[in-house]
Amino acid sequence: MHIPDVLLSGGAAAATAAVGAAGLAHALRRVDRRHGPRTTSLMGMTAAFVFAAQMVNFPVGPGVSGHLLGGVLAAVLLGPWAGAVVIAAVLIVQCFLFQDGGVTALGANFVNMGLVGAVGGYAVYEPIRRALGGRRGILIGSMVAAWFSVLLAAGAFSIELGAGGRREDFLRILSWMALVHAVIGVGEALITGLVVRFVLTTRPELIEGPGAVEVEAEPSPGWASPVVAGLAVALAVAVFAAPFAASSPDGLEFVGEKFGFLPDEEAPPLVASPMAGYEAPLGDLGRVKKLATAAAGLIGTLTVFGFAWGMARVFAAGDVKREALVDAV
Amino acid sequence: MADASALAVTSAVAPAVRLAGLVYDYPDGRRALDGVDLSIAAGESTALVGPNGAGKSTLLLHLNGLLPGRDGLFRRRPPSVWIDGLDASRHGAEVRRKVGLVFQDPDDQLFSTTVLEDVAFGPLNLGAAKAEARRLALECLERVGLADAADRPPRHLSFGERKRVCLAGVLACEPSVLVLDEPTANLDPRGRRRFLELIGSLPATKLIATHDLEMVLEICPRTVVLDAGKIVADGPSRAVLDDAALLEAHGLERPLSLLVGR
Amino acid sequence: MPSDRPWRLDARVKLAGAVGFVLAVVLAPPGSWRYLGVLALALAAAVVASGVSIPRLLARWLGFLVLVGFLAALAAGRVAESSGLSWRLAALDLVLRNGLALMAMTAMAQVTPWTEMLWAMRRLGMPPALAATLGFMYRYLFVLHDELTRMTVARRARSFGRRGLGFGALASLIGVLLGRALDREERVFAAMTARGWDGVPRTLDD
Repeated sequence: MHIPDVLLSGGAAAATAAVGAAGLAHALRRVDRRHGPRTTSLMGMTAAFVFAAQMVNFPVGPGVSGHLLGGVLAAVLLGPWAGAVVIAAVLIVQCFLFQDGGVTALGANFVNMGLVGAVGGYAVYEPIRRALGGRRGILIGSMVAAWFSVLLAAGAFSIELGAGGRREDFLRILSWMALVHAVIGVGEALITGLVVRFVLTTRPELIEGPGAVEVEAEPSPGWASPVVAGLAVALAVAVFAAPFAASSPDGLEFVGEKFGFLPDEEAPPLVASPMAGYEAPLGDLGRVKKLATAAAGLIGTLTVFGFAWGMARVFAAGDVKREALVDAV
Repeated sequence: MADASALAVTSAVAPAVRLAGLVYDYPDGRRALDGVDLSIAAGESTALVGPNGAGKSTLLLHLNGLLPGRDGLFRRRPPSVWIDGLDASRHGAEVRRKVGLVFQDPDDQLFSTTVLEDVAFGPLNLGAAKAEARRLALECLERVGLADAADRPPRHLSFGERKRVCLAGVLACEPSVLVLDEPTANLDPRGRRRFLELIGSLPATKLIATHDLEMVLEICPRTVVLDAGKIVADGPSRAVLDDAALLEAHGLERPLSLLVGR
Repeated sequence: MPSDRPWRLDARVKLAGAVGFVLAVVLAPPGSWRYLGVLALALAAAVVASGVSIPRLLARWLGFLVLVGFLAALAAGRVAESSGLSWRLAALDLVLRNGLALMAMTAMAQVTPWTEMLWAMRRLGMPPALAATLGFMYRYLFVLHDELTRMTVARRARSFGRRGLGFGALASLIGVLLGRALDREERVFAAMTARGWDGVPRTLDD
């Protein structure tokens, strides 16, 4: 989701612009060191590819469709910093040509999708790929990373949007963003997985590269590292995912409060937090409920994580018939 | 083969293009070029024909040092490509300056945002000042008849026009050897005619890889047949292209104009 | 050479003007309705003068309205607290100001071709390597989009009236596109190298 103009506070916009510019400069240097004169064509073409791939609409339901975001896919193909540069190029074109994302929020959008999404996503991908090894590692790693990249980007988004406001406002933003993006993340993981699986079957050299044989030959460093990495990220996510996971988010309540013309002087939040129902001032009982909420959030997050993991393993297990894939050409 | 060496000897200076025992393997290990010997005198127009996958495009890429050795995959081999007497593996920059390569798909070659920027790309990279590069680019666009398209984005041009812009972009580098990969492929008859006249009017040494044997008869006095990475025939175009048995053995057909009488 | 191309000077003015306008909108304190009214009039004047299609401008604004409304609802609490506005007015303020910013950028994009915008960005300080990448990306965006369209048509032609393509088929479409894009990149890079490319972007301007 691209942040439009005006919605960020001035401070948040300025801070993310500075971080984004520094991050992009660093990413450009890293990419240039790795690819040299090839940087322009490789980044430009991959950015064009991601942009074009985003135009492919995946039907989700009646009137609803989703599309690939591509940050993790680009990072898996070309490395984390190249992935960030690719996302930056896509964001700039989207901002100036299609007004998708505000020009004063460009820094924030790049921080979320480029630095947190692509680079952070790669940080999730790499240990999993290494631990599992081979194509299974690439596939499962990229799917899990895709889910996390969306959710982490949403978390960063919430921080930026809520910066300078009250904690309750921030939590409300966080819970809604996490709720929406946990679902979007499943779509991203699914599409990323399908594309990566297809490429691994038909053109493995694009992902595995010339060093792939050595990677395969390496003894896998065991399960410790992915489990630790996975749990660490899951815990981080759980902190902000807690509110949504704990309550059954009451859509009707949300709509009612949005259009229900509640008395103005009470200044109720325009969008109620999905966990609003649990915020009753019940003293000790309230604290217990909050703990339960956090625990439920943790469990919820781990469940989704497990779901993504399981889905990825099912994907990896099924041997794809080449015939069916070549059909796509 | 006899022809080739005879030509090499008659030219007093070094041949424009000389290949000696050129061997190249694809990254997956398949052999692409299997000991190619070829010598082309300055000013000569030579056709390179052969079935798909014979190694034609691979051979062309060797002529300006693009192969082997990209991505740091250098393999130590004895030198096997010389342009005007310069070893291509050691004098990459100079060799690229001398050899102009026109690719088959113009979209592979027109990467700039406007036609003028694209044509000026070569001169700018080869060290020309901006004013000089602009002048040269406009002049080359004039030569291919597209001066008025200078400020347009390449995607707004027809296939034939894009093809001519590619040629202009290569001419702007002022090469002494012009290498063309399938110059007439996908062109409509008028576009093809126009492109052929353009190529024919250029004084540079030419090596043209193609399936268009009628074109070969028209603008290339000499034909080299490449199959499975080896040169299997080399001689005057009329003789080579009239050899039905040879052509059939290598997946080619006698051009119609030779069948219906000259 | 801006002297023989007056429109190029324009692109810089247009770009800087639009971004400056957005900054003016963004930095306006919430609830400064009169100030926003002046800005809106200025924008309207610029739009009328430049001949931008007003329906298209409004359509673009409406297209983003749901998303902006949702986010404004989320952020209104923060704005209300800092400005003393009621949350409803705060949300309205966010939506209106965003509308002004969005329409200014839309109007600018409509009258400034991308090549000119890119040129202006480069002149206004964008790193040349990034500008070169953006130019390259834009060039091949259309090539890849055409390829995607051709592949989709080919798929449809063989699906014999069955409903739309499934997830797997769509993903494989993207996979094929990826392969073709990277293959093309290899050829383009060869073509660039053949004409002396060494990684340093050089242009005819400046």
